[in-house]
Amino acid sequence: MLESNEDIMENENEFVIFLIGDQEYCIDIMSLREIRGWTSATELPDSPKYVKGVINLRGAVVPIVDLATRLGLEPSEQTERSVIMITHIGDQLVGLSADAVLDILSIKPETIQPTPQVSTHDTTRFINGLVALKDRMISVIDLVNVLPADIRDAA
Amino acid sequence: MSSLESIKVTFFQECEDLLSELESGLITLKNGEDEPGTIDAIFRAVHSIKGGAGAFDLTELVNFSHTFENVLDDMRSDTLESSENLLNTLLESSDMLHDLVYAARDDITWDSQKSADLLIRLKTISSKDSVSDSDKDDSHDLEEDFGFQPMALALDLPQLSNAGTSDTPGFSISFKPHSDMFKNGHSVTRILTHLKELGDLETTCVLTDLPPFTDMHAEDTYLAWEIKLTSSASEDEVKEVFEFVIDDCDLIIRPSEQSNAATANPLDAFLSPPIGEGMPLPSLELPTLGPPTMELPSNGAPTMPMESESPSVEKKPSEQKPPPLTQSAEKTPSPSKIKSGKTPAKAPAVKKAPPATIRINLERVDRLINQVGELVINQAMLTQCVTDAGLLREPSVVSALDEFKQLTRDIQDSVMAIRAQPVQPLFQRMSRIVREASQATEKKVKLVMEGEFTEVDKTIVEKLADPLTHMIRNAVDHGLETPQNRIDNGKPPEGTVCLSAAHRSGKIVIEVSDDGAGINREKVKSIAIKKGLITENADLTKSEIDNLLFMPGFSTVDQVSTLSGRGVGMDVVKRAIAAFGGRISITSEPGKGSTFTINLPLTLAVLDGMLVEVANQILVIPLTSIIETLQPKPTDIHHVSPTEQVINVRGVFLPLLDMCETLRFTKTSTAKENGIVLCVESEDGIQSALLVDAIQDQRQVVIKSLEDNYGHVPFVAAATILGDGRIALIADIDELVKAPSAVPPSLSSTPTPEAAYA
Repeated sequence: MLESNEDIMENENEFVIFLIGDQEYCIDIMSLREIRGWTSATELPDSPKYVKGVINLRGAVVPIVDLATRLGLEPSEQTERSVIMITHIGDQLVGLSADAVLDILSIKPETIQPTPQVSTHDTTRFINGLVALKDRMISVIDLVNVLPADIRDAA
Repeated sequence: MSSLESIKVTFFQECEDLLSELESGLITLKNGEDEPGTIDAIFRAVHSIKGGAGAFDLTELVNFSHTFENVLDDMRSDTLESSENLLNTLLESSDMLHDLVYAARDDITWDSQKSADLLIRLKTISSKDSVSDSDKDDSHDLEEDFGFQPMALALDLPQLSNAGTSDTPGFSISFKPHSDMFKNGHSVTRILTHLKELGDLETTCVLTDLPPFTDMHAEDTYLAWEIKLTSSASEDEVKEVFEFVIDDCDLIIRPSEQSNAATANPLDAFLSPPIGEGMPLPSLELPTLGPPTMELPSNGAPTMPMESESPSVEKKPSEQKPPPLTQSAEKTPSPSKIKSGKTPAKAPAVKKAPPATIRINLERVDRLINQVGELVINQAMLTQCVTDAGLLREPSVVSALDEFKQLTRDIQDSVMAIRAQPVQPLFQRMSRIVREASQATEKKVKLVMEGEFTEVDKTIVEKLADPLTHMIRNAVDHGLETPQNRIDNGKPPEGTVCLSAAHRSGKIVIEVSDDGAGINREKVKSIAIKKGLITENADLTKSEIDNLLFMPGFSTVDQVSTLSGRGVGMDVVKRAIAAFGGRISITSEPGKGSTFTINLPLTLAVLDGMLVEVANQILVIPLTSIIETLQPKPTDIHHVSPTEQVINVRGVFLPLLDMCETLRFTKTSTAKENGIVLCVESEDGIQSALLVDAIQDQRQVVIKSLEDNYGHVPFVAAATILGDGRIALIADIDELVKAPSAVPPSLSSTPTPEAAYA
């Protein structure tokens, strides 16, 4: 599933590209700890809709954020390709759900374009920038903003 | 610098152990259970503290421990008779030493006034310091020198003696073989022959122990030898001759022409370092070491009947030492080099030597516990997989799986035991509190400790210190009567406070009881009425009145403590204990005393919980807060408003919380009537009823923090991992009962804590 990019140039960061709905997103590979298959999460009472619950990661309790819901997209169905990406955000471990992981890509930081103010929609809060790749457009996820605000403060 | 700092940290950690050893030793002595070696252990503890303190230039600490040590040394050598007064002073000194160590650790400047008085008293007691009012600077220098003593200790005895003997042309040797020596095939002749190879030999056979012929046993030994060896050989070489028989004989080797104590006696050198040649300071006069010889455990050879009568190791030599026959021996009264199989200092340690321990960073232990927890879950999952794969019919698979399961459980138990610690050090600290409180109140108090080897999670032990201190003080201050009152009531003037710990059905139970007057319920009640905690006509049972002491408002005014029996800050104690999952209760009988009982979970990491089902989710309710469970009849449930309902539990209405609605889980179809109701009580005594779908199980669960990676979730205290690897949430009862529909505590329905455990 993962085709790693052979020649990694200097000054390039590697990003993991994943799919939510029909959109492609990516995060810095350095903040990714591991990718797990989908496991059902334990619901948390009174939590934001996009917090799916918590899962057991080898003894640690890790919250799962449904990226689709967080980004304001249609909640996606769980399929065999659905994954949970366990990421470091600050000191916390957070799982992000995605429909599939596609690729790892080396990107020069300067090729990341700032997000244009296309709308006042919430979504742009979670996007750090855009990467153009041939005719594809990949959005770079802003991990810190993905967390619920009150949780972030606690971190 | 940082490495010195880290050594210092280790030193203070060791100090803690030493201080507790010191205190327990003193208490043993005070209780009259004089075991040989106790005093040595005490001495060693103080000595080690002094040594370490010197290395770190902690002058005050060195000063004090030096004086303290001198007194102990006198006791050790029996020049000082132990008495209750003396032991009290020593206990006081041990408390002071404790304070000094902590002050040094926390870098607090020590006010020497505090210890001055005690120091003088100690000096008066100590014979060594009788001459000493040597001016301060002198003693100061002395203490500074002590700083380097640990180095001297670390040296091998032979090396030390080398320094003393290198220029001596001879040795005088006292040699008394035990029968074992001959049983092991050694012979005196051979040894003497060997000695002769080293130099000129002058031997005298000592016949004093020779019994009348009729009493003689063929296989026993009665002879001893005094040997004068003129040789330029080193002491090591001489000792080598005796190497194989050293455990089977009494042997004293001393350089024959040295009589200067300061240079010839390495043992004394450790006790008091030479300061300037030939100028023995008071502490250098060695009355304590007394006889020039020290003894040497002799394996109970039948030839030495006196040994059994002299329990003190130091005493023996004077009694059993063969009268010195040779001139040289008499000429050298200076204490001298001793050698035996065991050094005297080590001998007592054999008695009750605590098992060796290492210090581990708690984080590592926790990580290990975590991982083992995972292993257990993994093992359960593996079993499930094997079952699913239909392999359970293979006997080999089944047995291997069983073994694996057993092993996992064993590992889990062992790992959990790592965190466990006996409560003894904590209890010992309490004995100091009792001493101080009894001094302050001028009451005579005896502290009885039971079950101090009960093991409790380390974190709990630490957290218990404050509440226990408070309770012990209360027991002495308010619980016990004055000696006069006690005599009037036909009790012994000395009050007893009992502190006990025990494992009881998966819990730790710690009790603080006194044999005082008990709770004056009339006064407690009238105060509670005055403070508006209860109404005037409230009809309370005895135990309900007793429990008023734990009410937050009860204790805020000082007067309460003087008027009533108890109650200073008991609500604080209760809250502190509740904070780590414990409960406290009280029983009291007028005239006979009161008992406070603390129930604690075995470890903080584990909680006894009831697994209930709510909307297909598993929820854990802490067992400590569940009062009862019941299956409600539809008629028991009443609506007081469209959203709020109450349940009638035997005539008392409790707010009923539908867990599914409260936690906003997706509603399932279970009708309220089919649910189960759990009556719960928060730590503040607020009661509520929780409606759940079903009860699944009751078990211990490992507590996992939600806050590490997420944050606080309303109504959820923590999470746990179930056997199948899924996460279950642990309900926060305190928060739940405060949910809008809960009612404030009603005293008339407050059950006694005892009932809660029924």
